[in-house]
Amino acid sequence: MDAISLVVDVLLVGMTVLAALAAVASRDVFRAVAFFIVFGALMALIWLRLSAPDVALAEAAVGAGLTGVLMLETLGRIRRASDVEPVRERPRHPAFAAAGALALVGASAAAAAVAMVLERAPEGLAPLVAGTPGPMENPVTAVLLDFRGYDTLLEIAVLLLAVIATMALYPRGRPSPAATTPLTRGPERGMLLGWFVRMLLPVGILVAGYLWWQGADAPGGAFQGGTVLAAVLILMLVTAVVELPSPRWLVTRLALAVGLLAFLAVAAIGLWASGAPLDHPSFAAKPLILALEAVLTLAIAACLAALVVGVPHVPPRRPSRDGA
Amino acid sequence: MILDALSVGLLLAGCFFFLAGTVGLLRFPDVYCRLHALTKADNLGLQLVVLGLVLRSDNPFTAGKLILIWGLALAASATIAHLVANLAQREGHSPWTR
Repeated sequence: MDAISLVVDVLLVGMTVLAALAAVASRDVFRAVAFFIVFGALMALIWLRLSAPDVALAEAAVGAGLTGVLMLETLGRIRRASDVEPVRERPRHPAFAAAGALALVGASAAAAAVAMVLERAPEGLAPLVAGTPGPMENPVTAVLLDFRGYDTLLEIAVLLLAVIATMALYPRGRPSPAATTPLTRGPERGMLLGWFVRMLLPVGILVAGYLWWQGADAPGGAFQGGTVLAAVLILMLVTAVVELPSPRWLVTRLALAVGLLAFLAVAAIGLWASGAPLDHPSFAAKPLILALEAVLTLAIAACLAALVVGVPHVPPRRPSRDGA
Repeated sequence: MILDALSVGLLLAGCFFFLAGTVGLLRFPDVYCRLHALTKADNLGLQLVVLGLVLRSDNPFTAGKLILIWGLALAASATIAHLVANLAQREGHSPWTR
């Protein structure tokens, strides 16, 4: 059994390195993006093999899925904007490729062997988390929201900043193509896509809610649930099943910022109840964290969707308002 | 024991169909044939793998989740095949004929 796992692991590592090289070395950008997505999927499998399902979920959803979509979207915009012909791959001698692949597999096998001989790394936070009975059964959620709350707070702030930067980068009156010409308004209009997206909405909400609730004592949580919800949102927006919300609406801005606001509120509650920000008072730690995770799920979904879909065209304000 | 044998059989059969679908993707002459290989063979492969795993699952919730994943993959693959074929037709790819 061990021999089989070793073969699988070595194959996995070799394929991951090859996918990474193909993504970096390819002259055709589309090909590079495709290999980047493959690389993300393989990385998720590696995390799974390392018994880190939380990281695997995040890698598959954000690393391969959403980042891939962002890159493909960018590529589509660049090509639409400039009508550049994709660069053709220079043909190489197959012997070089085969030799390179062999060398890589050998190097991966050597790396795997070295990794197995090495001593186990120091445990880090693990013994502390395992030895401290906290409100969260899932050690990953405990670290994210109980032990290392500041890190997560800053991550949410960075996500919001990225959205704000994206919004600021669109000059007023120059709409993003994805936001103004959704798929179903183009020639792709078809009943199947609309049906699929409508069918996906309840399932996506169910899965996101499940991941959020499950995050308390098993792999899951706000980031994974939020990404699932974001995927459904993005599909609904680009297929025009729902209209794009204007960034000027208070609801839109609130949906984007509510994660950071909720986090700050929880920090304030900690400061008031036990004298330290983000130190959850013991009597309400679990409901507080669960509620925070619920709000974070929604906010992360809104932010990720805003990053991918872009900002819709906002018509210039009416002059009567500008005068004020 | 019988359950184990059945499950292994189903998993192996699933892998065979995945392999067949991949060979089709690599060897078939045009985009429509390749879609055909991918959506038909791979969906059957996934179905067999899911069935094999359902037989091994220790509680009905795991089995339910597996079946949900299978249903989602089926719906997504049908929709995407439709989109790709639609795009290929509009871009003027004519179907391969002997």
